[in-house]
Amino acid sequence: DIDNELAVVEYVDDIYKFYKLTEDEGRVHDYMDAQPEINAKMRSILVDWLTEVHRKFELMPETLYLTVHIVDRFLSKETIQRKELQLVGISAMLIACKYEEIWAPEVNDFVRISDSAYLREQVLAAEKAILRKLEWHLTVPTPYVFLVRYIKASVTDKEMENMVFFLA
Amino acid sequence: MEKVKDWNYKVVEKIGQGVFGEVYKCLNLETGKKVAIKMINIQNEPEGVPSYLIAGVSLLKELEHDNIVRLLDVLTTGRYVYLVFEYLDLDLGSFIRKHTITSIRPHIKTILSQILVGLAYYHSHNILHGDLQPSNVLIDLKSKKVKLADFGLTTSFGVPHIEYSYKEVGSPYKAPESRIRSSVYSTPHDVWAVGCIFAEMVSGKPLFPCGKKDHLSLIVSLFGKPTKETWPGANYISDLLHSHPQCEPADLAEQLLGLGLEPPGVELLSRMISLNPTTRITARNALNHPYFKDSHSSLSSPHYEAFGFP
Repeated sequence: DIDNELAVVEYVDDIYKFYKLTEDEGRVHDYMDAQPEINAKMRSILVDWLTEVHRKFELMPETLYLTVHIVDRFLSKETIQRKELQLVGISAMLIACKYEEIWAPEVNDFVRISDSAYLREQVLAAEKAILRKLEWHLTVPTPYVFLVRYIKASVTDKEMENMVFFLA
Repeated sequence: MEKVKDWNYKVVEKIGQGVFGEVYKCLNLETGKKVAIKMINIQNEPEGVPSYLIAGVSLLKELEHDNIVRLLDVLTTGRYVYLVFEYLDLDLGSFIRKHTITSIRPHIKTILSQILVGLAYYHSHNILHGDLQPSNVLIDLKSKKVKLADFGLTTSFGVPHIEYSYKEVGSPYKAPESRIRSSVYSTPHDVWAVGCIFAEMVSGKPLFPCGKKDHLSLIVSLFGKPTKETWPGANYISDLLHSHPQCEPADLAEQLLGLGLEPPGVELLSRMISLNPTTRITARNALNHPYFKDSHSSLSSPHYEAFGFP
């Protein structure tokens, strides 16, 4: 990466030291017991659906990891109703896209992809509620940032790489 | 101002008006401390909270360092986002204007090293400052601390960004590569700005004052036109420079030595304002430069030697 100015080789060690340091801060405890209306099964259905949306919108891998992380952190702090779970999912993805992507999909795209189950005003309100609850703390080391480095360090083939990302 | 839950502040005065909102000096009614509150209107945003705000605020939240002004709190309502920053009364710009260069001279090293420590912290966290200039360098006379402020928003170089160009407009501290559309905007850009600030502390006036001539011709008149040797990547800048007359580089070193800067300082400065961004010194390496040798022990410790401001 020495020739890539954007890779900032000199600071790479520090950046990862920082990720490692903040890893614990961002770790989510198990919150399902505190959620009367939702369970692990519903979360996993939501994550599958978000993965599908992520693929359809052709987003970067970082975005999916961050989306799931936002969902989990929000749910560990706020009790929600079953019918709001998908709303939290798309609003979290909207935030993650704005954080990671150069061109984020529009709010209307998210409304459309969820079969207009929610109004755009609801998505925008949920976006703000999530940011407020997470205190705008989004710079978190998701599993992805570590995996990228491990893979870079261990020279593997593409198939192995895909496998690693999937298991995470 | 609208009513906000958890609002513990009293507005003292308006201190700024930026592209993205107004900045107020306020008093925290609980602690009695002064804060700067930036108020950003988001109610007319069709796509919700703008992405520069989401990326910028979450990055700012991560920064916690003695030499960086702290983002203390973020208040969100349906209409506004309020960013509550630590506030110091004096900035380096007014400090330079108020004092003679002879009285500033003994403090240059401490101020510069603290700027570089703060900047190295930014860069090691994957963050660019992007708008370094004397008015963004705040000074606390009591604690002898220098803190980098950015009441605009920082950008991460890990996150692709298209929103930074607003900062570029008319700043005399921007690096030459920022004129090249295709160029990458990375850490050397900030170091260039620190070099400009360094020179300004020595001479009492901006290295590249804005106004009279355009920024690039000022740079060219100081260094001469970049050649394949001095800046191999600069052939794409040659179109921009076509209209500029060929001129001999001015002897900046001579001038600075005349103003009392020691030779190692001149050498450090020349490496900070190297035209070619890839050979420009990094903030961290600048701190290890011989110029700081006699004050080196104070750099490794969190407390700097007291510098008695006049």
